[in-house]
Amino acid sequence: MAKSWLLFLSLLAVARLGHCQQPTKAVGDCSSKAYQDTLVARYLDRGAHRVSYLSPQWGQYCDSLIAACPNIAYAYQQKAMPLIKCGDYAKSMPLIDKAVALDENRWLAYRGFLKCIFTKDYAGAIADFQRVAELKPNGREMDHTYAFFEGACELELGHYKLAEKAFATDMALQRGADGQGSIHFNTLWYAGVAAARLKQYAQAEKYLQQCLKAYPQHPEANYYLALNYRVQDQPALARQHLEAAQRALISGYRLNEDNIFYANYPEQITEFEVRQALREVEK
Amino acid sequence: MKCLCAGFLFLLSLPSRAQYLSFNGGEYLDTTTTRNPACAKVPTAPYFAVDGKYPLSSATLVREATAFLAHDSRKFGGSGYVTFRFVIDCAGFRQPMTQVLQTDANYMPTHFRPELVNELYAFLKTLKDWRAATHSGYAVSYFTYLTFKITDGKVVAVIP
Repeated sequence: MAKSWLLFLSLLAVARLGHCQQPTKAVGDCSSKAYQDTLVARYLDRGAHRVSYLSPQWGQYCDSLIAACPNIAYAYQQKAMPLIKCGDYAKSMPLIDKAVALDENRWLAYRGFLKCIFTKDYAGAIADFQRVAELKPNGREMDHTYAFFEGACELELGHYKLAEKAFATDMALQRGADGQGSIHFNTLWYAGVAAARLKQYAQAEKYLQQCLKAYPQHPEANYYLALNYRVQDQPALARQHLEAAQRALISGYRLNEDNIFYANYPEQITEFEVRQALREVEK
Repeated sequence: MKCLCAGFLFLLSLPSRAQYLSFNGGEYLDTTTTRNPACAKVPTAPYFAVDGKYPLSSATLVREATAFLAHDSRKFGGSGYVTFRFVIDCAGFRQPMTQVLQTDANYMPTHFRPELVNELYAFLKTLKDWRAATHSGYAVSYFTYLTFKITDGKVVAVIP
């Protein structure tokens, strides 16, 4: 076990030690995109990205890139990414702030995403997403509109009307100008949760059923639909959906977001909550 | 004698300092390493490679942490993050060696009142349902963390 810890500590030393390669003093023009790309290819594509991002070398390659040209926002983001996944906010968030300062257009939404999903700073995330929506009204982050994350944050802050409004915007953006775009099942799930919190049970049921039509095993949609039925005094339907949620979780179905391995999404549940709800329905 | 008593009372009135142990550049609440012979030769993975998040939702953990803190009548203040990092061995047991990281709400390093940190650590010790993880069919130990987001002294989120 001591060995495990030594390994663990060495992994956590990411970005703290010296340099893999001697940082090359910029011989080119750091303001040139072409020159920046050359350095990114050298230190990240052919460097950091060939080792585990939990290896100390990862941070060292990033440091080398930063030493060569300190104005490449991507270097700071790459250095921050493994740190935030290990809960080191003091080291990671200033790096993300630096990336945003250097390239707001590219990294502001990413910072909002980190605040929403990783550090649960919902007010901070909303501010970032509202700002970036002004810069890029049709932008996306992690496959979702900015309004999607804004809605999830408002939901967690208990601002259900604002959440409802944000999810309406999210849906409108997904439908697109021709109104033909399909809506992501997780938008429908969150919109259903927001409607339920507003005691709009029929609307909540509609959204959650739509979500399950797209993804029948969605554990959270089944769970929250069950709660919706329970509130409406329909225990048989509640039990049916809780059992569906339990089967789905046991079979490995999740809410299908890339980052759920690192951090729980707002309103995400586990089998524990489903078992608890089943006990209450069976009372 | 009066001076001695006054001095003693003065010392008692000072906020207590946490007994953080410095190790490898970090602060630790416990540096004890234990050896489970069954896990001695298994590799250590990161929590996210083995679905190693604690098997309760964040909302449930917030409720349980809040209830745990409520048994103590002390009121705490401050906002930010208290993170504990540790290893779960291949049999699913949390290992005692525990690093603690603390930041304020703006992610700047800080120290919360040690009594609060100790209470959160005591709560962490009550969590016994860590998964025994496997990777590619083999038992592995894994390193993980639990962060308590604190707002005005109250637990408002548990991460990851």
